[in-house]
Amino acid sequence: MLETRFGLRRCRPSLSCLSLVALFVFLFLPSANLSAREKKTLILTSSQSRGGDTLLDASSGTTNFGTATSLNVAARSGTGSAARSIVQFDFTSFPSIAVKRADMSLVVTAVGNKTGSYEVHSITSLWTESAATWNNRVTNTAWNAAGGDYNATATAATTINGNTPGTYTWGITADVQSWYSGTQNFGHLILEIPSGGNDPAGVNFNSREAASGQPSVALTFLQQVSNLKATAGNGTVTLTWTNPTTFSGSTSLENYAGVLILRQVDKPVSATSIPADGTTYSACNTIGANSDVVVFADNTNATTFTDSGVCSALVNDHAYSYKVFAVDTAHYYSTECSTATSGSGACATNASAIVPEVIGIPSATAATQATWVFNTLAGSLSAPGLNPGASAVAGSNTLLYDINPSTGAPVAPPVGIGGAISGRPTLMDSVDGSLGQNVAYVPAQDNFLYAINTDTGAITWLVNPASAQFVASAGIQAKLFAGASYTLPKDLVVAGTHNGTTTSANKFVAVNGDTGATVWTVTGLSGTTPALDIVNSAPAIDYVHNAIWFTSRSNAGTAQPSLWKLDPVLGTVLFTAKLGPSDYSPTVSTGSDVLFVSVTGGALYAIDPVSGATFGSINPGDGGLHSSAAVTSPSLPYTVVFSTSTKVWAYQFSCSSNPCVAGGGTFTLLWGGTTVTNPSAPLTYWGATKVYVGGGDGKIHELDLATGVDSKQRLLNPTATIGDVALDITLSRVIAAASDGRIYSFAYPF
Amino acid sequence: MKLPNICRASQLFLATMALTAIRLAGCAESSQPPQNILTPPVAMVLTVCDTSNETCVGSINFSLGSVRDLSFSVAWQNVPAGTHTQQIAFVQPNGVVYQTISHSFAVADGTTGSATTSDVVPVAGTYITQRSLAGDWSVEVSLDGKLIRSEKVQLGL
Repeated sequence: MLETRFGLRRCRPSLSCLSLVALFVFLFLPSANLSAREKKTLILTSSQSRGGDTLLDASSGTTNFGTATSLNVAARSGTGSAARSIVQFDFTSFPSIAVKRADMSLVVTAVGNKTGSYEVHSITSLWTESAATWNNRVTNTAWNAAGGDYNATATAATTINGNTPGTYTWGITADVQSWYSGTQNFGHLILEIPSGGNDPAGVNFNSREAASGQPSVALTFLQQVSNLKATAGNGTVTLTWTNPTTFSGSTSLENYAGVLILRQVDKPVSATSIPADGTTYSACNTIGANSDVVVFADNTNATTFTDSGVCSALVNDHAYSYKVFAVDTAHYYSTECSTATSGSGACATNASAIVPEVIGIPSATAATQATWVFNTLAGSLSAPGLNPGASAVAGSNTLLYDINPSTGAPVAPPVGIGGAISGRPTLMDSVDGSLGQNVAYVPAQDNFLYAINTDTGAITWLVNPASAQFVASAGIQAKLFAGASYTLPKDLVVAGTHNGTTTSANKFVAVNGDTGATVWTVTGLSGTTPALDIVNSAPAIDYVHNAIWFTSRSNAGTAQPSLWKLDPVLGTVLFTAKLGPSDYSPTVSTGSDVLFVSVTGGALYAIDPVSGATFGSINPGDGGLHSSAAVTSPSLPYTVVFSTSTKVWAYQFSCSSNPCVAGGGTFTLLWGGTTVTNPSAPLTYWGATKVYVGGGDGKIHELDLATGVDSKQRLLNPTATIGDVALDITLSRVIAAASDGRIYSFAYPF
Repeated sequence: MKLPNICRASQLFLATMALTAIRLAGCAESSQPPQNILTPPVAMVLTVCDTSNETCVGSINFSLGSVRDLSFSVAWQNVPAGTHTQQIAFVQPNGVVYQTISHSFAVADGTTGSATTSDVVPVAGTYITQRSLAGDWSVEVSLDGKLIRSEKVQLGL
């Protein structure tokens, strides 16, 4: 299966889609026991694909100890000869919990003869178990500070007696809560504070490779509710949800009692609106600086609530946001706040960030509510990559989320990336990709290109192929679909760099999709290669002509190329064109006989994908092109849809001859411009009758493909800008991210 | 393309933390009388520039039509010895975080506690320019989890 630019994918007539669904079956079979706070110990084992541990030894600065069964921590005579160890737990099996307490335990098997204080610090840079050393965090990449990048303030400290092996524990509650509130989980570093003097031996503790006594973390937590849905009526919104049940193997501390529901209108409930543990609330109480309103405080294990205007009447056609907290008999709420005997303990800043939320839009005429809302904790306008019916993978800031597109629930805790993700993750499934796993290819702003297993969240590989930032999404040339002229043995992952300090020496790299090994690199002004400015959009793969197309900026003019055609096998530059700067992906027509290229603020060009000749172009005005073109129709003439500054347009592109010749193409206006405030790239596809566009007015617009009439809209958040949309054609869902930090899903057609 | 007016010299931030601490030196066995040693407060200067402007020394106003990328340079002084982590949050006009950048650095014992970091947030060609996300953005600088300073940066159309 392959994914196209905007979220559609061609699911080949095989069992592959079904097999993918099976891979995402929820990990736990709930028992019938209703409980709220529960306690479970998570052991870090060598079989877990996320997490890991290793030793950082200053005296062996380049040696990796990732497979060692025992790890050493020792102050020795100073930092230059110290040993530290790093541990990262795998929380994959706890995708949606509110952490009340977390205690890390290490089994110390050998001690020197000196009592010392051992601190744990949260690590602030990404590392890999197989490559981390005292000097480096990943292969060929040093820590910012040798010996590990970590928070200067210790999370906890424990004194280990110089003659007492055993199990020692550190409280890491705040860090784990922070991970569940939007901070990357890079684990902990354990060090012996040097002020205690020279301690040559320090302590040894079991690593995850040990036969027993591996690192563990005891979690006390509440689960979140699930399957939260809103159904809107005339002046009403009805919520339904599923209450949590105890995980297998958990110890139940209290019984589950019900829920507390907060409401806000025309903006989300704040992540800092936090009901206090131990406190009983009543309807119409308000919580937080946002004055979010308590509309339902239940202790009867209810699973539905109808808001007919609790505290204040619901006004039709406004977006009501609801956040549903689980609560137990001791009035612990499903927030990232520590357990306290009276009232809330310390809370993470965004302690209610991952509490399930949904919006309902009461209406006198039609139901318009979202099927789900997901909080990514940062604003991104990039559409999620889709595995239709199975997975929606979204990058937001430095986290990568895998979301069940049916329910909006997280499949696993987010994956922490070393830098921000600007583009849409590019997905490849296990059946069609040469890697043989469901994988997201993610270029990031830390210069790394990541391959991440979307079943587990484990980083399969990461490479730094160009020492420059990536903003654009990656493209994939799949071996399975390539013709005979594609002689490389594996899939090819390609992406261009965004090195803003140069207008001429950017790079376009190709790496092996299985390993990340560089296959070739094209560098601007190197050899015969023309100047290459920054690349801001995903490449397009032309399987028919065995070519890779991408666009770039061009130093603000037409003196250097902005359209590039490369040979995927050798990386040879086959063709360039000086069309003017482009921030948008080129689009290959269904028949691979026309390439449509949008010039930022300029024209839409129809290009011959063989010769590079221009068939024709069109610029309807209104500030010129502001998006890629969505192409429908299986063959010429093509219907192309695109956006300008304030409008959406559809043209028919036809040719006076077949095949088309230079200058022989004609764009004929079908409709437009249909006014949409600050429109995103429009999305439609062959066989569809509608066009979907995100607006700057907080709405997704559904335009009729035949007429351009903006007949229906869905309101997400009136104060937000809506990003590019994706269509899950299996579930009939349109999914879009918004500047309010949420991803919204609606059923389509509207 | 360079903007003629974005290079006016401006030191955006000169933040001081209320970290003034008094250490009491000496003990009963000391021959020296106890004395107060003033620990100088942590200070920092943040400079925001358009990366395409090689002579820029700082600005708070940028045009979406011409800005390339934004560089955030932070010069720290009087930071205690040890490993530290700086975080820069680039926050949208609506108050929602757009991006965060973490940067660790080490300060050696016996130094003045100075360190300089530099990070870049891409702007040209991103959704910021594609969707004209203009307005008063915020740059929030934290050190070791504590917010040190928040300042506005205007991205104009």
